Amino acid sequence: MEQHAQTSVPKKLGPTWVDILFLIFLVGVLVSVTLLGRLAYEEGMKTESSKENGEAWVKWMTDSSDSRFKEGFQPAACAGGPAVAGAVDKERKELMRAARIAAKKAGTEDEPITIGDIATGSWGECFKALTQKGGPLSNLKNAFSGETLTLVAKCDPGDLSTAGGFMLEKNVTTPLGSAVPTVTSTLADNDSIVDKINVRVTICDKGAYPTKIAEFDF
Amino acid sequence: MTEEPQLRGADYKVEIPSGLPFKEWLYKWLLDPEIEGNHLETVDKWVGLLIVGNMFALLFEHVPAVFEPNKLWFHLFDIVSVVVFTAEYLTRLYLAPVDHEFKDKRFPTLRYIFSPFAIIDFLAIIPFYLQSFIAVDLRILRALRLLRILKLFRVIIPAIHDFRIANQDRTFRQKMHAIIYPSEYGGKLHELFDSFIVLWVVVSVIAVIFESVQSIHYILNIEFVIVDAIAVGVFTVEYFLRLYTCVEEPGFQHAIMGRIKQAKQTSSIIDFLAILPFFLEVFLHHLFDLRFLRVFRLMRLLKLTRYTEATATLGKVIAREWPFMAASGFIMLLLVVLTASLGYLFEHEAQPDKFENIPQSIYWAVITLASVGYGDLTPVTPMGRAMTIILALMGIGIFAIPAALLSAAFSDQLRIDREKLLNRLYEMLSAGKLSMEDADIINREAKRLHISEEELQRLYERAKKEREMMDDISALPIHKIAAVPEHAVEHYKTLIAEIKELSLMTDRARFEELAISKDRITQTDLALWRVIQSNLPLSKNNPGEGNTPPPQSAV
Repeated sequence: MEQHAQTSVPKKLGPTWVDILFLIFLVGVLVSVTLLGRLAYEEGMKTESSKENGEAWVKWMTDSSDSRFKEGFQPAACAGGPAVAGAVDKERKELMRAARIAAKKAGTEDEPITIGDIATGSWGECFKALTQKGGPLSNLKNAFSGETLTLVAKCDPGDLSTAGGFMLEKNVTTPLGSAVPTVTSTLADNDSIVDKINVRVTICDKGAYPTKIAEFDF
Repeated sequence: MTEEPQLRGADYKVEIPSGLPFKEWLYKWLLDPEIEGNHLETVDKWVGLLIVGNMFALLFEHVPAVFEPNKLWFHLFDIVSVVVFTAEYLTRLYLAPVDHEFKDKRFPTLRYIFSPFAIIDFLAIIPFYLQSFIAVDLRILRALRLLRILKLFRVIIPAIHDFRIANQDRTFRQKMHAIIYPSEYGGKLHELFDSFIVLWVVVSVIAVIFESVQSIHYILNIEFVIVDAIAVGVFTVEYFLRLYTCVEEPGFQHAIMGRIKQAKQTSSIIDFLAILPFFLEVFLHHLFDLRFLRVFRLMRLLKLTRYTEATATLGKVIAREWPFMAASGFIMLLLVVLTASLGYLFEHEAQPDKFENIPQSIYWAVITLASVGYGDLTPVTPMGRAMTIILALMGIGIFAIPAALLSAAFSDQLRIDREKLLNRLYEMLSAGKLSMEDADIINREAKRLHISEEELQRLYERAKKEREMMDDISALPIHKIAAVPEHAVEHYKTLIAEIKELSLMTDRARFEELAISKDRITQTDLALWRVIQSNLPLSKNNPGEGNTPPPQSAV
């Protein structure tokens, strides 16, 4: 049992000036913790805003996942389906023809012909159409920097400038018998969106750590 | 008439006489605050927990992602809560005529209905019933349900009242100390303070654990931030209160050094580490990646060690058994290093990628010795395999030593604690019987050591018996009597009295004749005999004798 040293009868029983000073200090501590708590809350709200940005992307992409294969879909750069596939073929043929003419002129006809990226039906064109002025997702802002929301290649905790950004990745199914069922890689500008693709949307939180928003077919 | 002290074990339950009228019996059994060991404490505890549960339910109802899919469960919990609170209200209403507070008044039931606590109880349940008749806005209903928290006042107000009585002649700081540190002045209010801290420790630790679950963190991110900020606020205030009032503790009285000493205590360091990650993360998160600090918030769990003796017992056991454990650790170390070196020697050539160096072999040796056997490193050479067999067999014994040591030391420590309690009882019984204060101390200790009432009674009887034996000095061995001069004097008096009794009862003349004729006793002893009997009255065996002065030579 603990023994307690409170034997002498004190003269003043109410709070002394030292007690009052301590109480003031304690109130100060409480106010400081409240302010810091508010700061943490505001930082947390920025992550919430980033999540809302990601959810806005998810909403648009899931809402468009079927309609973009129908005729007259806008923005046209994000459309898919047979009509777009035909346009892609046409562009490829034009590029091939131009490459052959160039090879003929250069006298390198025997070498294999390489063509540049096909813009039609690519993710890069779609992204531009979505985020350019007047695009459906153009008004989203990075909650941490206050600037227009940008796509990042990777959430990097070592680089806090990626906080609030978002990542778009594609999941590609691997052949049967592979060690992993799918391979995930960043959705590149020249990736084709003519057919349905499985996409993962991730945002970078306060510490630039990735937070997965959703995985869906686009 | 003074009340007899009563010893109560950890399992003490009061026996209410069955001959009482039912209402009176039920009140005493369930709600009488003046009867210790009845079910009031249990009722208070469970109602308190239900109130806290209601507050959390109310909080989560504001999170659509949690509330919407679990609407039914929330509703069921609300019904269960209202049923319990209604049952409590009606029971108290029914028992109002026998309640100490109201029974002597006119219209006790009516008086009860309009008492503050009854109004609070009523307000806690009425919104639920109202919504069945009136269309009440859900937000208003939720706000009204907040009133359930007021039910806690049924426990808090009496605790404050008792605290004020117990601390009326004490300073502000002493009162604060009584709330925060365990003392005889704290009472129920101190227990409530402890429960409040424990609640926040549990809540914040659960929050930290669930924060690591991505799907939960995604939904409750902002709620976790709020919970953490409140928990840090509570723990910071507690930390500074402990530092400020510690000077009332024995050994910490000095204004500065006492507080520094307190700050250096393990429990204070734990308290400090429990709040530090929050401040570091808020101030420095722009400069460094401090997410790893979040795991350290789990250290808040260590705050609970203040409220349990288990870790103190573990500390004592390890400190006591340290030489043996160190010896067994040394043997283990020897074995690991030697076998790892041999493993490297035999296996390196066969598997240079796996047994690349001795540190890698040490990993293999420990995994094998501990019988874990992950299988990522396996010997392939005959010598390596032979050594693995020996190592695995030795490991069973070597690793069992510290476990057996700890297990034995734990039960031994428990025995020591009980012996201490017995000794305490023994000391307390020096006055012949236990005082009320002594009984209180023993009851608290029995509760702490989980000693049942039956066992406590047995210890008490044993201590009492030993104390009685102690009073009978003659029953003790002579060296024990000689060790205490007071006992030696008492024993000497007893011996003299016995000699006197002997001389009164025997034939003195015949005694002397025999003693002298056959040299059975020395001259000195005979002289002493004569001195003793010189002051004795005449006995029927020795008429005409007595009051004879002893011969000078003998004296």
